[in-house]
Amino acid sequence: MRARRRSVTLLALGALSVAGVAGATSGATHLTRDEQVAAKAATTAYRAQISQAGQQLATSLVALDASLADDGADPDPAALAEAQAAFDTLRVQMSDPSAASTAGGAPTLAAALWSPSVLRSAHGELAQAAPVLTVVLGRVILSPQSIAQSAQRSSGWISRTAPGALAGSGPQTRADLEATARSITVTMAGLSGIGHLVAPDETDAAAAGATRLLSATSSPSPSLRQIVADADVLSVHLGRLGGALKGYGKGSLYQ
Amino acid sequence: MSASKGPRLSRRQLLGSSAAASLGAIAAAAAPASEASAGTEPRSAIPFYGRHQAGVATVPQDHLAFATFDVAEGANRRDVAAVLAEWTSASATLTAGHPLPGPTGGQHPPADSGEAAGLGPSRLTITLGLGPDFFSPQLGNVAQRPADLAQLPAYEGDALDPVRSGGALCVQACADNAQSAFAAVHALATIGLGVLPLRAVQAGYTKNPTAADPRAARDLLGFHRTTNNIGWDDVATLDRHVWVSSPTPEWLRGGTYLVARRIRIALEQWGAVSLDEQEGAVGRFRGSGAPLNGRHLHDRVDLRATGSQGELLVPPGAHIRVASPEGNGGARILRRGYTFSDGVDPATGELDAGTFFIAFQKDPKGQFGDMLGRLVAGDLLHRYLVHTSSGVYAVPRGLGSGEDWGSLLLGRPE
Repeated sequence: MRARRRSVTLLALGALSVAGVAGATSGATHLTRDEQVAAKAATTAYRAQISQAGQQLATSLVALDASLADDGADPDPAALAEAQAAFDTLRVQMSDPSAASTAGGAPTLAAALWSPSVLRSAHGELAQAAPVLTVVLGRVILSPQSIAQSAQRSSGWISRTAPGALAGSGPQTRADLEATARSITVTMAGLSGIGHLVAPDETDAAAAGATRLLSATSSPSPSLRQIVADADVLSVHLGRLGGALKGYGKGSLYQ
Repeated sequence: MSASKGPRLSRRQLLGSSAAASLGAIAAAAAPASEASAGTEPRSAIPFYGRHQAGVATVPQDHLAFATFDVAEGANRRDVAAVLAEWTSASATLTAGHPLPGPTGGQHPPADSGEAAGLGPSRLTITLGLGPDFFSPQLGNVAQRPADLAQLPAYEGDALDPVRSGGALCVQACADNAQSAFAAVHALATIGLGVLPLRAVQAGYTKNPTAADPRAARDLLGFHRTTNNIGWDDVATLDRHVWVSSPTPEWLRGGTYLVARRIRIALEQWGAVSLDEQEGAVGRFRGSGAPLNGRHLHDRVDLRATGSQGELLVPPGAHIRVASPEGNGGARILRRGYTFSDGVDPATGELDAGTFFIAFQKDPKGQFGDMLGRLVAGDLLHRYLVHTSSGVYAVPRGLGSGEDWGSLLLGRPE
C-alpha cells in the first residue's frame, strides 16, 4: 500500500518535469508576430488538450474507485473506458522517461487500468491520485516542436501496439489504438496554424496521415498492415514537421 | 516440458549402426589432414576444453547461430545423456576445424555434412546452456535444477513468440564465418534427431574490430555496439559478475547464466525521429560513439556531467544512464549480442530486424532481470524496441579432457 501511494506521487513529479523540457528548445530567431502568435496558439491548444484529458482521467478514476467500494465488485465499465481513453491521450506525457521519477508512476497506473486484478488492488488509491493529476497535467507546456514529437511518439506506440491489440494478445485493444489516433488528429489541428506558416506541405501531409490513421483504427474490420503502414508514414511526416518547427516557441513565450 | 510429438526414430536408425559408423571412422581417419592440407590450414582454433566454456569470455566472432532444443516426449535420461556425450565429441572436433568422423560416402550418408569443409576452425565456439525445462521428472533431474534458473517474467510491451522463447537446451555457435556457425548447429541437430528436436534457430551477425580493421561494430540503430562492456580478459570483473562460484550444483561452478532476448527494432519509427532525439535516447553521439559528455568512443561515461544551462548532458532517460552499473546497484553484465535481419514481418509489412541480445551473468534475475525492468520503465530507447523472444539458460562449467556433457549433467548412460 505504501509503495503504491509513493508511485502515484512520483507520477506527479514526473509529469511536472515535462514543462522543463519545453523551455529547452532553441534555434529560430527573429520570429514574426504571426509566427509568435501561431506558436503560442499551438502551445495553448495542446495544453488544453492535455488538461482536458487529465480532468477526464481524474473524474473517471474517482468513479472507478467508487465502483470498487464493495469487495469483489466489478469496476464501472463506462468509467473504465473513459479512463483508458484519457490515458491513451496522455500516455506520452505520463510515461516520458526523461523524468526518471516516472519509473514507478505511469506503469503502475497503466497496469491498474488494463488489468482487472491490479485495478481491484488499487482501490482507495485511484481517487487520491485524481486531484494530483488534474493539477500536474494542467501545467504541461510544450513548444510546437515538442508537440509534434509527442504526436510522433503516440504514432509509434500505435505501430508497436497494434499487433498485440488486434490479436488480443496484449493488454490494450483496438479501442486504445483508435483513442490514441483520435488524440493525434486533435493535436494536429492545434499545430495547424504554426505548421502552415513554417512547413505547409509537411503539415498537410501529417494532418492527412493522422486522418488516415484514425480511419484505419476505427474501421469495423481493421487491417493490421494498414494501421502499421499508416502509423509509420505518419511518424515520418511528424518527424520532418518537428524538425521544421525547431526553435519556434523559445524564450518568453513559455515563461 | 515442451516436447515434440510424432514418431520417434532412434539415433542409430538415423545415423546408421555404430558398427558402420566405426568402419566409416576408419575410412575417414585421414580426413582432417587432407582438409588441412588443402590450402586452408586451420587457424585460430579456440580450445573447446577448459575451466569455462568457450564462447562466453571469448572475443566475439562475427557470426552467430543460436539454437534451442526440446526433449522429445519419449526420450529418457539415457537417450539424452548419450546425445550430450556425442555433442561433446562433435563440438570438440568441429571447433578444432575437423569434420565429424564417420562414413565419408559411398554407400553411406556422410557423417559430416561438408558444409564447413575447407573453412578451418574459424574461431568456432560451441556453448551449451540448459533451460528450466531441462530439469524434469522425465529426466529424473528435478532436484538438480539451480535455484536461480527460471524464465524472466513478462514485461510491459513484450510480444514474446512462445516458439522462439524458452527451450530445454540452447546451443550458441559463434564463428568468424556464417557457414561454420550454422554447420555446427546443423551437426548437433542431426545428432539429436529423435531425442533433442530443434525448437528454434536464430542467425546473427556483426562486425567486430580487428587489428587490421579496428572500427567498432554498429548495430541497426546506427550506433556503436557494446561499448562500456566488461573486458574479455578482465578476470577479476568476470569472476565478480559472470562466473558462478557459490555453492550450487558442481557442474555450474565456473559456469554462468545466459539470457537471450530477440529484440526487434522498430526501424521505421526509429528512422523517423531526429538525430538529436536518437542521440538523446542512446546517450551517445552517433558519429563518434562518444558518450554525450565526451568526445571519443571510449571516453568515460559521466552521468553527472552538466551543460551550460545546468542540464544533464546524458539525459535522464538515456539508455546508457538507465542501463549503467550506477543505476543498477553496481550490477554489470557481459554483453555478447548480434544483429539479426529476418526479412519482412508478414503481419505488419515492416522489417523484422534488430538485435539478438545475449548477456552472461551469475544472477539472471538480480543482474539482468532487474535492469530490464528499469529499462522497460524508464529507457527512452525502449520506445523503439519490441522483445520477441526470451530465454534463460544455465551454462555449465567447462569440461576437462575426457569429460562429456552427458556424464556431467546426467551421469553416465547405463
